[in-house]
Amino acid sequence: MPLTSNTLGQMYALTVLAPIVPGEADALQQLLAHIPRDPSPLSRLGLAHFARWVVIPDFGQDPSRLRAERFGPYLLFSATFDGGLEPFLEQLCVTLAEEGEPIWSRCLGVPTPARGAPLKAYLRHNQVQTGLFFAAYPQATVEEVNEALTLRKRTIDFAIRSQEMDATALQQAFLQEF
Amino acid sequence: MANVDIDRGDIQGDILEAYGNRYRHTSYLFISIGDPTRGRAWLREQLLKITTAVRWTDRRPGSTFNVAVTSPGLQALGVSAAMIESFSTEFQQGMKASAADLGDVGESDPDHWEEGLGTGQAHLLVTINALDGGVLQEALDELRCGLADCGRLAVVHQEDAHMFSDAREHFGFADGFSQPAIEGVSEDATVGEGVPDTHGWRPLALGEFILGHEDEESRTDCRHRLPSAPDDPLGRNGTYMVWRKMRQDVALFRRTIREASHHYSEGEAKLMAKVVGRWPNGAPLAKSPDAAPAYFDPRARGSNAFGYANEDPNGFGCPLGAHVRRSNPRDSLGFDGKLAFRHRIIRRGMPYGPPLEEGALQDDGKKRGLVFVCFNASISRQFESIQRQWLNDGNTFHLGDDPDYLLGGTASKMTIQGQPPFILAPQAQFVITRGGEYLFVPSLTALTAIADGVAS
Repeated sequence: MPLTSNTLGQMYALTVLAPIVPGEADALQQLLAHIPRDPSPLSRLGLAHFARWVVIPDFGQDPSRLRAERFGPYLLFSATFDGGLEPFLEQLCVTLAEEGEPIWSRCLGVPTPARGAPLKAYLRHNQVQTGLFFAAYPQATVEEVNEALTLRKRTIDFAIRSQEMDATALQQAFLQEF
Repeated sequence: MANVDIDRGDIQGDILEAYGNRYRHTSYLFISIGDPTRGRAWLREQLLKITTAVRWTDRRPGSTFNVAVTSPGLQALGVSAAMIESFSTEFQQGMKASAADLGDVGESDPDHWEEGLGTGQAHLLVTINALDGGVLQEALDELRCGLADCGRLAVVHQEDAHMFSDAREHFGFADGFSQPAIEGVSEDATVGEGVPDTHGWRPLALGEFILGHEDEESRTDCRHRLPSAPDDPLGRNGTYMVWRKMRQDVALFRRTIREASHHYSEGEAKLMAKVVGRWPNGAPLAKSPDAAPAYFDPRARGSNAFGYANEDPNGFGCPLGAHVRRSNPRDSLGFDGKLAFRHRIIRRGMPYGPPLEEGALQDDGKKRGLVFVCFNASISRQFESIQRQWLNDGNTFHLGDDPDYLLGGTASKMTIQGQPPFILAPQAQFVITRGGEYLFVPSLTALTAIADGVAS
């Protein structure tokens, strides 16, 4: 995979900035605030390490300026995931279509319905280059991370179980477990 | 000693002084206020009774009296919404809102807390320390009479705690003596208890524990800006307080360690000390890794003068996951201690309930535990960070998701570093949260302003 500002190791970091329909920012903020947390629907994006939606009310710093001269509100979406862009967009726009549609449909110029291939095109159009991002384990996929955690737990459980075993019993137990 | 201006007459006395060291009895009373005017009238009557931090020159009083207030309490006293909004978010939301972060889930869930706690009914906390039971009873009678006279004020929760003769907590360990070294307050114990810097150790800035004063960040800020605090006249010389009632299952703790020690070559007493990080008499494993010294005075000068980075970096003496090492990692996180010194708290815990008979392995059905109290300038940066990042998760110490073994958690295993290492298997929780509140301890100036309706 070529090293671009959007990739690190096998990971890709997507950043999308989409203008919010005027007057809809508060409703969108409310909608995001009430998305279930545990588990979050974002956890169904199997490729994703991290993902977030952020409502940016205003890019202007000077409140005295006319609203039209300031920029906003915008919806920022950023995610870090395994592999290339297309498989992730497939998960985001198809697997997560139910939850995603009421969010994306509050953005300016979004296709109706805001899901599937038309949404993918819209997100690609509004993509901005990520620049620099950090990944603690850029070579490991979500699947590998989960496998490593499972193996860690199995190893710990085995270590607890086998603390009093003699060498023969330990060997037998090890071969049986692993 | 640095020149620190401490207005002891304005600061409540139980913050900087450990009254528990001198007074055997402590009662905590949470009071609900049904009417702002009566609440303020009652508060005004208490102003002269409040024990300040002014040092006693002759005899200590028979009892002390201190007041703290919750966020619903400020409202119940008629303090304006704008003023309340100047307090920290976590204080305004209350301890119950932080339950998931604090590990108050399952049996410790606020839904199971004791009456009056975490419900918004607890408005004021009165803390009374007394020399003996008689003096305590007098103070309690006087308080209850005063409340009845005022009307529409009621005690919604009372907790009576008492110091054991050897200052041990229920699990059998000396407790409460390791405290942060504070500029102008406790500068004689800086080694191990202050901040390590190029010239050795120095005390922490007063503003880490008392608002309205420079904290560690102000020191390096070119404009010496003060830490965030409630608006005047409520902020200065006050601080935030955390109050938690923690039930301890002593029999389960003893049984767990006894059973595990059958497979641990170095024995039961050592295994128990490894879990805590100190011997029962308080001697730190980082300094006495093999056996408890026959004599150890935890309050003696230099008794807490130790770190981990040089003495015991790999945890072969004091395990990396030992309770005291997690709750105060000192210099063990590297970077010359810079990752730890902004997460210090003043602890003022006190046991409640009778001790379980020595050696008993079965519960006697009596309720016992610790009333945990701490003071800090920022509940989120200090108390909550310790709880969330250090005690409830092991990542900081390269311990994966292991929570603190002593406080427990559903997935709590503990690795005792050694050759070979020994692993304590997960078990049911030894410690259950029975309730708690986030409070603010106002200065005398602030209490007067609230009583006079200035902040309304």
